Amino acid sequence: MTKVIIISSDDERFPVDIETASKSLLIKNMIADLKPDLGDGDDEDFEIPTPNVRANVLSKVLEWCEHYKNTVFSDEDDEDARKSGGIDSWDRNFLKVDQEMLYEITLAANYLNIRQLLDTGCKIIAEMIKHKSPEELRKTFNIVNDFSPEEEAAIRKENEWAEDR
Amino acid sequence: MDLEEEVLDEKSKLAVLHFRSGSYTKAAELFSELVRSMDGYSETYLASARTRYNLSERPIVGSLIHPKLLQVLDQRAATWEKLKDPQRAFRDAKKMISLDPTSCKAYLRLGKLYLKEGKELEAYKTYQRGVFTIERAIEKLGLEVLPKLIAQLKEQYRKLNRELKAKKESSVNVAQQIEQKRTQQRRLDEVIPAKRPKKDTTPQRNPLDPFQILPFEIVEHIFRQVPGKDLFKCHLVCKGWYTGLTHMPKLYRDSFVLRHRVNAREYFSGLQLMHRIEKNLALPSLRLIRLGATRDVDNLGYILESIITEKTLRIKRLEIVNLDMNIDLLFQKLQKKDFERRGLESIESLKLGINTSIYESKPLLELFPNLQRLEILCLDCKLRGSSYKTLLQSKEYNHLMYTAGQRIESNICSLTLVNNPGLIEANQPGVQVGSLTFLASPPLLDVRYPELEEYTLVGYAITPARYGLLFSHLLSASELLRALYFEQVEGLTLHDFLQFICVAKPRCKLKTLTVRNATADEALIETFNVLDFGCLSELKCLDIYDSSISNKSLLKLLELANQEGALEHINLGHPEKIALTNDRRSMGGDKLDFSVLLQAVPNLQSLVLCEQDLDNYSMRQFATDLSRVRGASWSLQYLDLSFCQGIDGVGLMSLLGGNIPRVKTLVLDGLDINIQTLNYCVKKGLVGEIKCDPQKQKWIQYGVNSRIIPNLSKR
Repeated sequence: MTKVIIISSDDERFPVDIETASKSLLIKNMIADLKPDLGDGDDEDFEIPTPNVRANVLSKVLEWCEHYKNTVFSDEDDEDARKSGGIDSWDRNFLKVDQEMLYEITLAANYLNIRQLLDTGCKIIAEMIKHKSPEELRKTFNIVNDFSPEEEAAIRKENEWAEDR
Repeated sequence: MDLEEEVLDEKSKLAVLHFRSGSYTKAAELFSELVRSMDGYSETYLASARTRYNLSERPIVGSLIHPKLLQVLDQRAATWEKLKDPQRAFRDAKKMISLDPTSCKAYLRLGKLYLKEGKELEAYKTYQRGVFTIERAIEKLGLEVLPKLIAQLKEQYRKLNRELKAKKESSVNVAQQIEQKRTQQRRLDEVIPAKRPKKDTTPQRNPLDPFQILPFEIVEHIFRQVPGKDLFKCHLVCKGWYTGLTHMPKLYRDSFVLRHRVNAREYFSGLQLMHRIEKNLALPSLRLIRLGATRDVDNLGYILESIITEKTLRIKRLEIVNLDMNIDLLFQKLQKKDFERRGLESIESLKLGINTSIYESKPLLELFPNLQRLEILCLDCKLRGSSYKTLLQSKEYNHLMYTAGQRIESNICSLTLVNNPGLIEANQPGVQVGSLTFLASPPLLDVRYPELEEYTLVGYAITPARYGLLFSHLLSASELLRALYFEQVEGLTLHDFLQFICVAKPRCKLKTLTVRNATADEALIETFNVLDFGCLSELKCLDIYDSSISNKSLLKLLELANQEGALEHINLGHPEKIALTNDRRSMGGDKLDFSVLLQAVPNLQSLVLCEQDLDNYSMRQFATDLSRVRGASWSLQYLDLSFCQGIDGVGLMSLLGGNIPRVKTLVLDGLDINIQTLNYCVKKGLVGEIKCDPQKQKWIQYGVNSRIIPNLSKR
C-alpha cells in the first residue's frame, strides 16, 4: 500500500495512509497537484516535508488525523455554525496537553490546513479565557499587569456600559 | 488557424500597450476578451495551437489550455492590481495555479498579491508550495521550466523565509507589531501615555501568552468564541491584550449590548470605544445596538439623539426595548435634530419595545428606508402624551406624514407586531380606561410587501368583515411568505382564516402556520375544497394551540394542510373539543383514535399534546397505534405531554416500553413522575432526553413558546 511520508522539521519521517494525510488540505492539494494517481497501484512512496512542524507535534497531529481518517466533516462554511458546535469528548481528551503544546498543535493545524483540528484547538484555548476575572486570566497565561492604577481605572470606566457582570 | 493566432497576438500586443500607457480599464477589457476567446476553443484546436508553439500536444501536468492563456491571466491579474481590485487579481492567480500547478509565474503572482495584502504567511506558504510542486515535477516527470523563473521563485521563497525568521527571533509579538504600525492612533483617550517598548529592554517571549505565540488570525479565531462580557474583561489583562483585541473589529460586531439601566455617559464611552475599534475599516459599522432600560427617560433621550445622528458607524440592527420609549419620543428627538437622521438610514433590522399602542406606524417605513425586519412590541398601554401636538407644527413632520400616507409598498421581509393584551380581557378594545388606552386594530396592513417572508400578529382584535380583505391582500401580494403566526387575535377564527386563503388563493408556499387561541365553526370548515389550499401543500409545521376545533374538523384541516405529506410538526395543545382516546372514552363516545391522527400525518416527527385530557390508557393506546401504523421500531423526534395530568410513570413506561430508543426529546413539564423512573428511561436509552419541570404552572411561556406579553399594567 502506498504511503505518504511526512517529514518533520527535525527530519523525522512519518509514514501514513493517504486518507490520514489527506485530512490536511495542504497535503491533499499537493497530492492532487502532483500525483493524482497516487495509490492507484503506484508503489512509490511520496515524501512531504513540513519545515515548521516539530516531530512531537507532528506525531500528535497525525494521531488526530488517523483517528478521524474515516470521518467526513461537513463542509460548514457558516462561521456561526462552526462557532456554536461543542467539543467532542475524544478531542477534549486528546488535547489535554500543556499550553505550549496546545499552541503548537493549533499552529500546525493552521499551517497544514486541518480546519476541524484548528477549530477545536481554538475552542479549547477560548475555554481557558471564558468566565475568568482579569486576575485569573493573568495567572492562566502568566502575564504581568503592566497597567498603572489610573490606566486600569480608565479601562474599567470605558467598559461600564457593557452587559451586567 | 494561423489567422486566429495572429488576431490573438495583435490583441494582446494592443492590451500590453494600453497597460503600459496607463489605461488599465481598457487593458483589462482586452485581456478579458482574450481569456474568453482562449476559453472557448475545442480540444483539437488547442492541441494544434500547442504544436504551433513547438509544444507537445498535451501538457505533462495540468489541463489542456491555450499556450498563451497563463500569460494573459497573469497580465490581467497585474491589471486588476493596478485597478485596485485585489479580489479579481486573486481569482486570476488562483485560476492559473489550478490550470497549471507547475507554473512559476502563477505562484510568483499569488505570492506577490498576498504580500501586498500584508499576509506574509500566506505568501510564504504559496512560494513553498510552488517550489515544492515544481521541483518534484522536474525531478519525477521531467518537466522543463525556464531556469530564470524557478530561480526567481526560489529567491522569493528564501527571502521571505529569512524575513519571517528574523521577525520571529526579534520577538516582535502580534500586539507589538500592531502597536508599531499604529502608534499614532493608539491612545486610550489620552489616559494611557503612548509608551513604546525600548529596543534594549525587549521583553522575553512569554510562551503562554497567545498574543505572543500565535499569529493574528488564530488569536482572532480564538477570541471569536469568547462572549462579549468576557471579552471586555480581557481588556484589563495587560496592554498587549488591550491593544491586540481593540484591533480586531470582527470580535465586536455583536457586542454593543448595553447593560440594564445604562446612563448616557456610559453609552457615550462605549460608543467612543466602538468608533476606535472600527475606525480603520473601509465601512465602519455596528452590527447591533441593543438597548434595554436606561437610568431614566432623559438618558434614553440623549442616547436616541446620538443614534439618530450617528454619521460614521453604519448601524445595521437596532433594538430598543424600554418602558419610556415610544414613537412620539423618537419624533420629538428627530425634530430637535431638524430631522437630520443619517444614523437611521443604514438600519436593516429594527426592534422597538414601546409603552403605548402604535399610533403612527407608516412613518417608520419612511424613517428607516432600508428596513428588512421590523418588530414592534407594545409593552404597556399608556395614553399617548401631548408632545405630538407640537410636532404637528413642524414642516418636516407633516411632509413625512404625507409621504408615509402615499406609500403603498415596502421591502420588509419580516414583520412582527405584538400588542399588549391590556384591555383585550376587558373586551373593550379601543376604549380608554383611566390613563390607559389600547388600540386594537393591527397597523401596517395598507402596504404591499412583495418581499415578506414572515408575518406575526399577536394580541390584536379584528373584525373579519373589515380585515378579511386586507389579510387576503397581504397573502396574495407576498409570494415569498413562508411563516404566518397569529396568537391571541380576537375575532380571528380558523374558518375565517381559511376563508381568507380561499379568497386570496395566494401563490406563496407556507412552511409554518400558527393560528392559536382561535375558535372554529364546524359546518364551515367541512365545506372547504382542497384545491383552494395550494399554499399549504408544503407546510411542515402546524400549530393550533388552544383551538376549539372538533375531531372531525381537525381531520379536515389536516387534509387541507397535508396534501403532499410534508407535515412533520403539529401542536394540538390545550384543545377545547379534540378528544383523543383515553380511559373514560374507551367505552365509546366521540373520540379520535391515535391511529387516525397518525395516518393523517404519516411523516409526523414532532408532536405537542400538552394540556390534553390524556391518561395512562391513552399512552398504551398511543404506543400500540404507533406500532401498528409505523411498525414496531417507531420513533419520534419530539413529544410534549406537559400538563396531561392523567399520565404518570406507568403510562410513561407503557409508551416507551421495549428495548429501542423511542423519543429523542420528551417534555413532561408539570407532571408528577418519580425522578427515578425518568432516570431509568434515559439510562436505558428509551429516550434521548427528558425535560421535566414539576414546578411549572402553565405551558405558555413568554419568549419561549409564546409571544403574548405578560401584562405589565397590572404590576
